[in-house]
Amino acid sequence: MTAEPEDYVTQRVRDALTADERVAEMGVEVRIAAGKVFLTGQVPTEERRQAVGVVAREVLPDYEVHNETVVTELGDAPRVERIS
Amino acid sequence: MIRVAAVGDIHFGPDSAGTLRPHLEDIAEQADVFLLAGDLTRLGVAEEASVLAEELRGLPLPIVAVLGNHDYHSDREKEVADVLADAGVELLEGTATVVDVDGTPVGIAGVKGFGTGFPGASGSDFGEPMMKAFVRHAQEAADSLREALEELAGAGVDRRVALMHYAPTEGTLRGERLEIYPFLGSYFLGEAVDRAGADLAIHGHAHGGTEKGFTPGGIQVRNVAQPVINRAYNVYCLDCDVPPAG
Repeated sequence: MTAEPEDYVTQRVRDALTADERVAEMGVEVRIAAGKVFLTGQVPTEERRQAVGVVAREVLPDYEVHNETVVTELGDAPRVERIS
Repeated sequence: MIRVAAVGDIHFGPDSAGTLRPHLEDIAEQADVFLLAGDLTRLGVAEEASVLAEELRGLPLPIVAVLGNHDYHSDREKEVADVLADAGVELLEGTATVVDVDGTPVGIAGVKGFGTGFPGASGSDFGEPMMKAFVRHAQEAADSLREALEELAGAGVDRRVALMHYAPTEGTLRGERLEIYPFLGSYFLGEAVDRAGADLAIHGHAHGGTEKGFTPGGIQVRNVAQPVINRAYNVYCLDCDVPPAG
């Protein structure tokens, strides 16, 4: 049996990150190389950041998951722009 | 001077409690109105909206919002809207409101909007019923925004802001993959803003996009999705004769 094409593997992870209520994020980047899954992007909370890794491992238990997502930082003060 | 604070895509869930309010304590000193550009919740359920409601309740400035696609995900958007309204948030969907800023009426017209894409690379009102429904839904949403802006103009409200979730221009999508532009916004929205006129257009939805852009008609557009601005909110100052403090 031929291996599942990598395009479909990454899409399964993206679909799971969108559909799983623990994450529900569409903007996480998923890349695969040499049996490793790299997840990047921003998420709103630490709980959701950790859930990204958990969900990816559930989808691809045989892959090494590198959760490189970060929590969106809200900065110190708002930027103020004058609209002309 | 009219100071508009804005943010979108805050995706509130139970885990978001306490993450926003500390950054809003002095918002009334920084701004005259607070706009929320949709995707206020993670899954679009009342329980999540309640968490956000507690972060916003009692803020001493008008809060005006539109919903986003996440807020519709569970088919309970009416409950989400009701919870937020109870906390003092005014929800717009093809409608407008007017806030008074030191005696100057400022109109905000809002709609969630929809996709379809941009000139040369957009869906068409042609083909299967589902395809036509997709495009017509986007057109109807844009039409309602245009009508709301025109109504404000007709009522003599000179200062007007257009608020939406989906993008009205490609310029604020730079950074996102080109292939998904049709799912991020629609030129119908930009056309609506250009035909009716506005001082500023604000949207969210495109987490990987760019903050600053403009419509084909030259109206300034700001993408305030929180992963773009990396702030609790930004402030856009209209009619500012001198650089605003901060």
